[in-house]
Amino acid sequence: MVLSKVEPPATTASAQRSHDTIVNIAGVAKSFGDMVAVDNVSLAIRRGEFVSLLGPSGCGKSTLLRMIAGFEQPDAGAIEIDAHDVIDVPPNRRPVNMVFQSYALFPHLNVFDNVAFGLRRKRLPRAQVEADVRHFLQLVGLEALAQRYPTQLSGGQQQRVALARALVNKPKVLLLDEPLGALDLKLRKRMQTELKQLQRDVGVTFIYVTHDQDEALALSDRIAVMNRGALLQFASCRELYDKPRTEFVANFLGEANIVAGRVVEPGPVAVVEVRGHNIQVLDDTQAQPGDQVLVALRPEQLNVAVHGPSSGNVLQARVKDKVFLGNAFTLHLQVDPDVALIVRGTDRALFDGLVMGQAVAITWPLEYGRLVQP
Amino acid sequence: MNEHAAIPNARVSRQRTRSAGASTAYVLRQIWPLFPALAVLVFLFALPLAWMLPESLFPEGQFSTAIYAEVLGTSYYWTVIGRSFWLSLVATVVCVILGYPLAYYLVRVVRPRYRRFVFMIVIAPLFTSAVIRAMAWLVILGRRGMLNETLLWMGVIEAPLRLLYSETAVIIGLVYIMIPFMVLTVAAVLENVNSTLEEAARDLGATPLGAFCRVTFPLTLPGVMAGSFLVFALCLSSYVTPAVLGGGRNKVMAMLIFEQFMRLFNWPLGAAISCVMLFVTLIIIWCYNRALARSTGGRGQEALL
Repeated sequence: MVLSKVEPPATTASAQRSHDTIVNIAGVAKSFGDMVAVDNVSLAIRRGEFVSLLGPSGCGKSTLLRMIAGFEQPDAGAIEIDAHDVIDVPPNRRPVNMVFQSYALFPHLNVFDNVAFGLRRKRLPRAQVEADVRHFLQLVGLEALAQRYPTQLSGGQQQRVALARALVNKPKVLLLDEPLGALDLKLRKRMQTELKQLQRDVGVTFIYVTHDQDEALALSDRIAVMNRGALLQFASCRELYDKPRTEFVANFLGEANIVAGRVVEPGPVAVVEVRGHNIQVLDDTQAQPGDQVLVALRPEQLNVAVHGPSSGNVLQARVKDKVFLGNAFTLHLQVDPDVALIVRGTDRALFDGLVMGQAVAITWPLEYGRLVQP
Repeated sequence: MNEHAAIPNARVSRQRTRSAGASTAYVLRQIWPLFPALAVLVFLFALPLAWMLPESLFPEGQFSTAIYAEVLGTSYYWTVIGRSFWLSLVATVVCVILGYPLAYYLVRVVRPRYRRFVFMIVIAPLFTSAVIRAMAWLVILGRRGMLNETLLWMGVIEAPLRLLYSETAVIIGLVYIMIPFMVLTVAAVLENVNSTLEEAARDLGATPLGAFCRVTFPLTLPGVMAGSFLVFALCLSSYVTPAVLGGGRNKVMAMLIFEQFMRLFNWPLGAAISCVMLFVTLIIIWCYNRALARSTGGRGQEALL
């Protein structure tokens, strides 16, 4: 995408007002027959934000997006766009546009007519249609291919046409349903960068559905993690990664060692007994003494020492396996016959010094150990 | 991506060069599945057709265009030709108008689970003989038939309508018989039009009707075209329906040809009428194809024929 300078649209200015909600979803639920697709989801998205709906396939993220677009009616709850209730507004009159997973370009229209489709439905004057289409085709670097038909374009080019076709209508929110899913890995990475740049340039709120955690992290200001129809956590990338509230979130974003234990002392810094070791972990969940709980520990936030402390926030383990990855290494450490932890590091001297079966101590800064809900 | 694509391409071209040496064997290997159909067409269609031309041009063993002069110079034949085309055209248009919504309903509204069943209902009339189906319309459209009786009983009309033995009756009968062909052809094409495209049109501000007119219908035009050809050709060559429902007065080409061959034993004249009709049909199809190709920007043509 050749990103020429765009004159800033009106939305950029309002994007500065950070707590200005553009899409408000309140208690939305949707079932298909017996299958609950979206279960009581509430979500407030700010103007100008890049939000990802992240989750495995079938988690309800696409259904939620389709309800914002107006293609599905929620069974319960409210959806407001720019402070207007849109539940009874048909898709053609909602101030949003969508980029479909398979692009859904009109095969009987050329690139120009595809992009002009929305403007012509608004009966804009011919000259303005022409100018707007040219402008947005230029924005995505396709002005030379205006006369081509969709079947004559590559996947990446089709993707750009779909983006231009949606953005040319100046929507208040752009909805993207796994738009990069059909592209190969290399092109996907490049399109990610371009997409983020495009969003900054046009200043439109993006709601982006994906099942790819790396994509969500690379693009989003905030991520809403969904599983089985429920919204598990909606927070910034940093907060989701550093403070996952559930085991699912901890595992879905990045890697996590999940260790089962029992609460000995409750509190913001709780003491949890794990296989005879008492460790200190942060707790937002207000666990009670005796509760069976899960502790999440990120592999790269764990330290390994041959002569570590024997007490305090430490787990004693033996080296079970060493895997060299080039830029890093992975250690598989056995704490107990049933409990194994994975540790990732870059300290080559340490890695080379370790032998199989060797006793080591695993330590971590207090803020990186965290109780999560199952 | 292009450098990867080059490898299989290279293999294909090598195969082609190798087979060029034994080209006859290669061609035979490629086209043998065509033989059964080809044989049927040659013996039942091409040969009789090829026989028609000399039959009409050499009536008594000598070349003569007299019969053609007779056919083309007699207004009666032109009236019958005109009526045949007119009836077929109207029946085809009615089939599109009635068949398209039905096909749309089948593909977009009926759940996949019930679709096979509804398709069966659409096809079911084809299992009955055309004669019986035409006779059924006699019962319905007759002077004291079901339709007239019902309308009289309801007080809509005061005297029975003369429905039978008219062009209207023929058109009703033709539409009834041909509509499954239209529905099946359109449904097959409609099934391949991704319904996401309609959503995309709605998303871009089109009303439901607008989405249909600007996206769905243009994309199913090849199906409508193919269905129209099929129905038009079948109408033009139909004999039983016009014979039963049209009475003696509304003669069409098929009846005329049948008469010449089977009753009057004027084979040269029958053959000449057949050839004229074939020629006119081909011209009409050619014009229709050209007109549609132009209206769809040249992309309709590849979808058909």
